[in-house]
Amino acid sequence: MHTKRIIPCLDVKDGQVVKGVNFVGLKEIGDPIALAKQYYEQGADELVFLDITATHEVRNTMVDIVEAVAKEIHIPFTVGGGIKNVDDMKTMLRCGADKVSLNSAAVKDPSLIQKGAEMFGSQCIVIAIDAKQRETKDGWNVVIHGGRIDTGIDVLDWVKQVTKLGAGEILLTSMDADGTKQGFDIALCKAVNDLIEVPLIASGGCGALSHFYDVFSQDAADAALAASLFHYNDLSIHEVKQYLSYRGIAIRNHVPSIEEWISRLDFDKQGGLIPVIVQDEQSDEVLMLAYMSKKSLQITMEKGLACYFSRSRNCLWLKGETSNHFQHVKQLCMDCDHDTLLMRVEQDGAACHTQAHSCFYTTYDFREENTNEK
Amino acid sequence: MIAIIDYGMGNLKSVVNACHALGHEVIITAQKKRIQEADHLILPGVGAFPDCMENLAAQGLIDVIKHEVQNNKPLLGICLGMQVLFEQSDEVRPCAGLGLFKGKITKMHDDTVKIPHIGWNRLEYKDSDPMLKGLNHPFVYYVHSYYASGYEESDLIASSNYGSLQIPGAFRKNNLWATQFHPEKSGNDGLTILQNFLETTQ
Repeated sequence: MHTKRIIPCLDVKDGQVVKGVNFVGLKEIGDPIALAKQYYEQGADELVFLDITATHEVRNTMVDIVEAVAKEIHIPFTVGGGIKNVDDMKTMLRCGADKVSLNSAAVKDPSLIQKGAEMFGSQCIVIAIDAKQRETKDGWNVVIHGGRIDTGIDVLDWVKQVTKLGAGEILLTSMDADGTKQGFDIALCKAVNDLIEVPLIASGGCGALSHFYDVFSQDAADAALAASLFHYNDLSIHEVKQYLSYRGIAIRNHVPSIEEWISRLDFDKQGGLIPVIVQDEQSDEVLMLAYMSKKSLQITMEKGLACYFSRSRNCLWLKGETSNHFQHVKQLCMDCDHDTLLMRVEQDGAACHTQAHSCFYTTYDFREENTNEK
Repeated sequence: MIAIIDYGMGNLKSVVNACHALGHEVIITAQKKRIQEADHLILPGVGAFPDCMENLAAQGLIDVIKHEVQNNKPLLGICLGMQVLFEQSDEVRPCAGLGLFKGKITKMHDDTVKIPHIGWNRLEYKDSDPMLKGLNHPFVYYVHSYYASGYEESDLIASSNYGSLQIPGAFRKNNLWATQFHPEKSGNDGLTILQNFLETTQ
């Protein structure tokens, strides 16, 4: 199972992580090494560091940061920003970076891409492209210098050129979407992704869980990059990955053991029992609601058959034991505060003891066409 | 002592960092004597197959590597360092490898997926192995366009699915270990594989 990647990006200025809105108005966030470690532990698939330090003197601090980060995290990481020549690439790779990203320098001297690929291998060379939609709305132009200069170069032409020269990955930022939290620029990503054999990392605009889903489900990118979303703890990487798995996107997730998963649930809140909403896996119809104790959940997960705790009989209740109406468990989902379960099942026979398929057949309908009194 | 064999290709730093994180001392070396003295050998590598073989030959390392492996000294080949352990490769031009594993390195072809295969993929396997001790179908990080074919099934430990392709991910024959993926870049699960390797003894 090849997975989509979630990549937090750390913009580093004068040794501190910062993030701006639409490339201006930078705010300080924190220590890059501590943040990198935190993201690594949360399950980031990769990290990107962009050095946005303007002056030359402070550049050495980036070298120190890269060296320290490389000791702490054991996933791929890319360093970009201010890399102007082959020597800069060598410095960062020697410090422990796995990849370097080139932006403005590659536009000024495209041969740098080829030189880097020949010396260090294509897999090291990430080309970062900042794209802005043309006023005529018929495409996007490459902009450089942190969004200040429109080169007039068409993004798609540039993508073709850089991949020919040996770019190993493309990191594509939509200037129009960046900082808006309105979602990735799918049209832009898709246009680029359809052109290339190397991976595309989508960047700019992500502000909600569904934005990650949108860019992946539409096959618009191989990886998604976000910064402020993670820095400000709006979402954790773990949450994003849980959500994407739930929506059926292939994601690298730590597969918890049954015990580990059960231990995340809050049984104490409701006196040792957890309500379980049971849903038909095929039709999405809600079949019933019942309760599980820790023990019954454990049996359910081990057997793959629903086992509840009967509050009326005060005992474990393997559904179907007497009726043969077993529930084959296909998926268990815990809710956001870990005190309710949604269980998706394949139902043998009927869920309800009355032989109705669902227990919820007694209705009071507010819908116009179904009102009881006409 | 662990010796990382340095033949002038690839970024050795991340392998060093991973060994350090596990609490092991390492040396980076191209000296025969150091390689002979070491308890564990790691052969990393990125780049093209023929360059790798030329560099190994130029530094006079081919015989010493073969000799140490024949003496059952634990050796782990990573990525291109795995590929050169096989008999032959098609990359750039036909080129002989070290021949320590049976099989050939060929280009991957599948129109439905991007090639190179870059990113995280799950390891699939049926039987447990010392390599996989403490792991449950871990995800590992790959970067490659070529893969092993025509190998001995008994040498294959785990593989990953990519499009219609079955990518052989890990091989082991006695103390000769090899991974197409990068354990040093595969998070905690990768470190576990490295640790399992470092626990093997001659």
